[in-house]
This record gives sequence, structure tokens and C-alpha cells, in this order.
Amino acid sequence: MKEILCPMPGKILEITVQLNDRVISDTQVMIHEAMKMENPIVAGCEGIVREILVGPGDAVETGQLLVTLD
Amino acid sequence: MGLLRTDYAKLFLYDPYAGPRATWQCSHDDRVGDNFPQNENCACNYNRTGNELMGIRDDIEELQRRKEKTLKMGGEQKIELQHSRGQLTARERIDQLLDPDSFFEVGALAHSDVPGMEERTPADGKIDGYGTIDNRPVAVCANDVTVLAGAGGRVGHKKAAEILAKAMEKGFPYINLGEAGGARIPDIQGSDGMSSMTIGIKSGRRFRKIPMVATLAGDCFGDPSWMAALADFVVQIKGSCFAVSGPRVLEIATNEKVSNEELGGWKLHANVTGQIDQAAEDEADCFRIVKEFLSYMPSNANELPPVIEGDPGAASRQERLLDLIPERSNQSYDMTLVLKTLVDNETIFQLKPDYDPSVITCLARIDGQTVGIIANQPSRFAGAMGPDGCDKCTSFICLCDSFNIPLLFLHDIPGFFVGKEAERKKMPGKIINFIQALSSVTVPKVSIVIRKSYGMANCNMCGANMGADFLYAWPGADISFMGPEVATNVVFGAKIMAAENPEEMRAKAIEELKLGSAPWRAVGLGLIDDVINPLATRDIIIKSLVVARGRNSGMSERLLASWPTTF
Repeated sequence: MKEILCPMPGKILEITVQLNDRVISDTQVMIHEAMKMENPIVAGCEGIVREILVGPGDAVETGQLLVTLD
Repeated sequence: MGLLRTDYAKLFLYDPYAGPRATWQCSHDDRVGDNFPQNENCACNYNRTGNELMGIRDDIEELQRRKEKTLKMGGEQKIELQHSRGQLTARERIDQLLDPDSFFEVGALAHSDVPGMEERTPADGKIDGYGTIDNRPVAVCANDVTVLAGAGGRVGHKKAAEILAKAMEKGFPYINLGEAGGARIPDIQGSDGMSSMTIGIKSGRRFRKIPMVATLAGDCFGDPSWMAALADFVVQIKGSCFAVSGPRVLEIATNEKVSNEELGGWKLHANVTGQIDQAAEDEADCFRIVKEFLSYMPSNANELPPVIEGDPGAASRQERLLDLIPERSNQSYDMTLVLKTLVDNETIFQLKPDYDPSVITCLARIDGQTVGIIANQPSRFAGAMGPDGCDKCTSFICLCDSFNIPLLFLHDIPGFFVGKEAERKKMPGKIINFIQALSSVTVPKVSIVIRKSYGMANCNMCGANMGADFLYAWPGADISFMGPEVATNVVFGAKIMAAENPEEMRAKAIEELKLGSAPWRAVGLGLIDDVINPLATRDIIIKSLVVARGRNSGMSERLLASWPTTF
């Protein structure tokens, strides 16, 4: 089980993957907004998306679990 | 061994280079006189038959025997152990780092001054000397982990201090190849040991006179860690540990149980502490990185960095710049692609790449000359640097300013990344440290606003009235105190909410503020030097640096030379 954690505080704008999608290193999984900038959140490694724990509009904190991969 | 204090005094007077006629006497004569049996383990003249001195040919043979012995380091078993861990010995490291056959060793015949330890301590565990890298002279000191686990003894300690002093005096870069578990006990134990092995007042007085590089392999506690923290450039090999004391000492001292990786692994230092500049995959990678770093640096602070041939192909790729920056100003992009387009041979050499990656600090060449670049990275943390980013910039500014390397600033920063975490790490202090360093820079500075540059971050990135020799903006630049969306809420928030059509009014207010943050007003009032075509950026940097170098060719006044290396 691999996890994608939130790198900084902000808000989730859009989720760009779906459950069971295969992702590789650097695949964008969601867009996060902070400092009025859109920041792509990317996978750090290869895997299959098992859980998406946030949705658009959610406020997020540093270190918060966003996605789990298998 | 029961040496008297007076005997220690004699030991320190012993001159290993005085040859066989040296009149030094060891403690043997106190006890056994002329009948003392042959003792191969003793380094004194009493090794010889009686007191007779042999002929020069025999002496040379004896020299040869001793040299061969020292080359065997801590013995076959220890060398095998080192190899079995996938690591090189100190001598192999030196051979890989330096140009072939260029190593010129000093102090090879040194050994421990603890009686009875002479034979077990070839070179007293530190292999020192001079050589060349890319035909430029350097001084090097390597910890020999095959000799008593690399722990530093009194003689080795003195050797290392001497070669560093010599490198500073003669003006050569110094490279410390670290792998050691700290100081040797009993050498440093006791009031005499501790008092004769302090780090020494001179080690703190570097004044960045020469580039100092430290590499970290295996376990590095004590000495190699101090050297790394003192150095201008640090490479840690993955799998090694860089800390004050090892887990074994910690467990006894504080009961803390911790792995090497947690305590001082490369990830910790690359991401969290910023105490290393690059992490290397293995030893070969480490030496490649050290050589590349030195290729950008002058041999000492009295010289300009070496100049090599420029990049004739650079002009033809500038067109790319038009497609690298997204249209919408809240979209991110990879600043390294912009840098690679601007510099020679599309090559940048990053320092601390993973330590607050929202800002890039890198060395590169433009028209063959070394430049230091500080550029915001919108694709990481919105390009908004936090306290670590400020430290990273301050440290980089000190490096460039001390070694006559001009600075280039490329702004695209939506402000500092403020918040609870940043304040706990002393954000105001970090920002002002950065400003203080910037205020003392005396190398040429060129500053270009690529896109956003807001608030205090605009000052830190060398905005108007911050000492840039030339300050430019691209036509799409957006310079203000804060982004228009945020400013609209602050200024017109109440009015907008009270209006009949708040959305429309808000959009209108944002549009007005956006017009004001375009670069035209600032350039119109002479607050910035020019608005430039992105395609001409490289050419303008080259021309600006020629002017900025001026009559002293870009030599620094070195006001930052004594700024601490770690803070």
C-alpha cells in the first residue's frame, strides 16, 4: 500500500484520476490550490488507485492522506 | 603503557622527517638500556642493531618497507570488509577522485603517538595529500576506516589540520572524504587528550578563502560531520549516516533507539535539514558530483571562476521560452526548463534540490562564465518559498558572493508560504537574514521578473531598490504587493458585498488591479531598468554582466565570507 500525502495546506480543486486507474510516477492525481496557484499533486510511484479520500472544495493540511495506491 | 608526562613532551618534538640521525629517544632507554631486545613495533632508532646507523642503501630499503606497509592500510581483512559493504577504501577513493597518478601524499609514515599502537595505525588513519582534478590543484584528506574504524587520533588530527591550513595558504580547494566514527579513545580521553585534540580555533576561521567540499560515506560521526557542516559543498552517499553521534552512543546516553537512516540518512538531510547539497547514488556518482561542482568554482577567493567556451547553439533555442509559460497566471510550469533554455549547454547544477524545492539555487554558465541562479519554481509548493527556502537562498548567496560568482534572480513567486508551520520556524527572521545577506552582496547582480513577484518576496528576489545592477521584467510580469484576487477582497470586500451585483463588481475590481500590476507603470517611472522581450533575455543577461563586472572584473569585496556555513 502506497500513500499520496498532501504537501502543503490549501484546497482541492479537482480530482483527475478515478478509482482503479493505473498511475505511474509523476501522473497527476488532483489539482490543489494554495497561494492562488494551481498546484498539481502527482503520484510518487507506480500503482493502482484504491481510495480517494478527499473531494473538490475540501480544505487540506500538510501530511493529510489524499489517495492510497496498491 | 605508563609513559611519563615528560615522555609525551618528547613525542610531540619528534620530527619524522629528520631522518635516521634524529636524536629523539623513546621510553625504551628509561627501562632497558642497551640490552633492549629488537622491537619491530617501535618507530624509534632503537629498532636498529644496537645504536649503529646503517648505510644509505639500507635506509632506503627501510623507507620502502615502511611505505609499503602504510599502503596496506588497516590490513587485508579490514579492506575486504570494506569492499564487502560495497565501499571503497580511502586510497581507492582518492584515486577515483583525482586525475590519474596525480596523488602526492604527505604524512604517509605518520602513526599514532600512543606507545604500542605504532604498527596498528598506518598514516594514523588519515590519508592526506595533494593532486589535481581536471588539471587544477586540490588538497585532499580521507578518513581511513580500515584503521581503528577511522576514529581520529592525535597525529592524524594534526595532519588534517595542517593540510587544510596549507590549502588555505596556497589557495587550493580542499576535499574531505569522510567516513569515521569520531575521535579515537584513548587519544582524546582525559584532560590531556581533550585539551590536545580540540577542533582548534583555526577551523572556525575559514572565511571561505578556498572552496571546501565534504563527502560522507558509511558512518560519519564527529569529525566528518563537523567538516561537512563547515564545508561549502556537501555530498552524502545514499546509505550513509551523517550525525553527531551514532545510535550506539545514543542508546547509552539517552536510551533513544534509532536507526542510522532515521538519525542521519540522506533523505533527512536532503529534505529536512538542508545540510547536504546533493545525495549521490554511490561513490562513483559522488566523485562525479564533486568534480562538477569544482568545475564552476575558482581555486580560491582571489580568482575569478574558470571561463570555458560558450554555447553557440543557445541562440537558436530561445524561441522555446514563448511556450514554457502557461497563459493563465495561476497555472504552474517547470522553471528548470526556462533555466536550461537560457544557460549554456542546457546544463544547470542544483544545490539542495529537494530542500524547499519551491526555489531553485543552481550554478550554470552563460557565455562560458559561471553564474549563480536563484529562481522560483512554480511547480513545487506554488513557487512560494518558506523558511527553509530562505535559508537555502542565504547560504547560496554567501557561496556565490565569496567566490566571485555573479548572481541572477528569476522571479515567479506569489509571496512567501506563510502560516503556522512557517512562523514556528522563525519566518520573519529567515526573510530578514536573506535580506541582510542580499544587502552585502558585491558581485554583479541581474534580476528579471518572469511572471509574478509579490510583496516582501519581491524584495528578497532582488526587486527594485534592492541592489541589482540591472532589474528587468518580461512584458507579462505581474508586480505588486499581493495578488489581485486577494487584494480585491481586502480593499473592496465590504463594498462588493453591499453592491447590487457583487460578482460583476468583483471582476471589475480585479481587472483594475491587474492593470496596475503590469510592469508598465514601474518602467515608466524608472523604477525598473527595462521591459525586455523574453527571446532577448539571454543576450541581455550577457550584456548586463559585462557592464556589471566593471573595472574590477566582478571580484567581490567578500563581505559575506565569514557568514556561518550552517544556520
